Amino acid sequence: MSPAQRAYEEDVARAVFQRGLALGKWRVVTEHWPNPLIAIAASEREKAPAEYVFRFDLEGYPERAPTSQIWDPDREAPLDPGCRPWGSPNVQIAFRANWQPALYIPCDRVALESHGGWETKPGAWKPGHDITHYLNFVHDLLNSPGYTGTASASPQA
Amino acid sequence: MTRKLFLQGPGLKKVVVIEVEDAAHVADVISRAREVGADVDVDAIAMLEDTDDPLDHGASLDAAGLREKAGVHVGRCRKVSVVVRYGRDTKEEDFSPAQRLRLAFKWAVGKRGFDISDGDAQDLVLVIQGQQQSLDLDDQIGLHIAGRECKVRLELIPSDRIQG
Repeated sequence: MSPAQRAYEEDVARAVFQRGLALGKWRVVTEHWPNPLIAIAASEREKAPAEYVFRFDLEGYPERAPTSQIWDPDREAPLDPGCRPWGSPNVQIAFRANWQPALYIPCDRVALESHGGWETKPGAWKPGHDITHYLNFVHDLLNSPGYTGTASASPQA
Repeated sequence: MTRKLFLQGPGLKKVVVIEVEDAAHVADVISRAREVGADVDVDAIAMLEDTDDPLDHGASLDAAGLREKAGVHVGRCRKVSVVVRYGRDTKEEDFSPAQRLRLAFKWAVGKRGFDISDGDAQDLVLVIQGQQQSLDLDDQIGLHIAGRECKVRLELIPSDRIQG
């Protein structure tokens, strides 16, 4: 087992991750290392799913930040743009499809490494963070008043 | 057989999982909390998460509602005075320490608090006064009691001031 996998397994065994499971904030769909699928709950919106699935890449964890793609587990492919979360500018840009296969958020490895200076942005990945930092960041977006549902169900999309 | 409980309280930096016998009583939960670092005495108060009333020390776990993976608070205070600063204004309200910060946030941005619009409220986060790390709104209020005073001092700040 690699140090990254060991660190991840220790972190998911910790109380903070386990409490997120118990509260229904997230659930592990598959544990396939280094690409676990984790579903994150979203607030109820018309014609929108109760959760979205994310395919993580945890190489180098936790020294390197996680990265993830919003995922369609049935097709084993990135989620179609019309099925992605929509809403306020913060929500739209986080789950944008017209970018790299990653989330556009400051705790995502690809986003961080693509943008000089993002290490000082709100919510950026820092030493000492664990996977729950990333999961909470996305959970907050999907449960904010700014989240309106899926792009295809949002009239302004 | 045993069951796991998610424990929070003064002296603990974050949520802790404790394991107690199914046949245990509330007093045993308090003893276990002391063993894992909660800063409380044997006569401490135990409360089921999201509730307002202390549990009877002699109650069984089942009678107390402490089922598998329930949240529990162990502390010294029946009520906590939550002081929230927003800009130059300050408001104060009493909460059960077993309630989550989500309730205090809702009060702070609501009509009885600072009456902040939904649009503006979504850009605000709660921090401990003088700190920059945003708090997890699923933390129990009582987790953030510092010292002997039954008080938590918080601040609403724009999320773009957070250092991450």
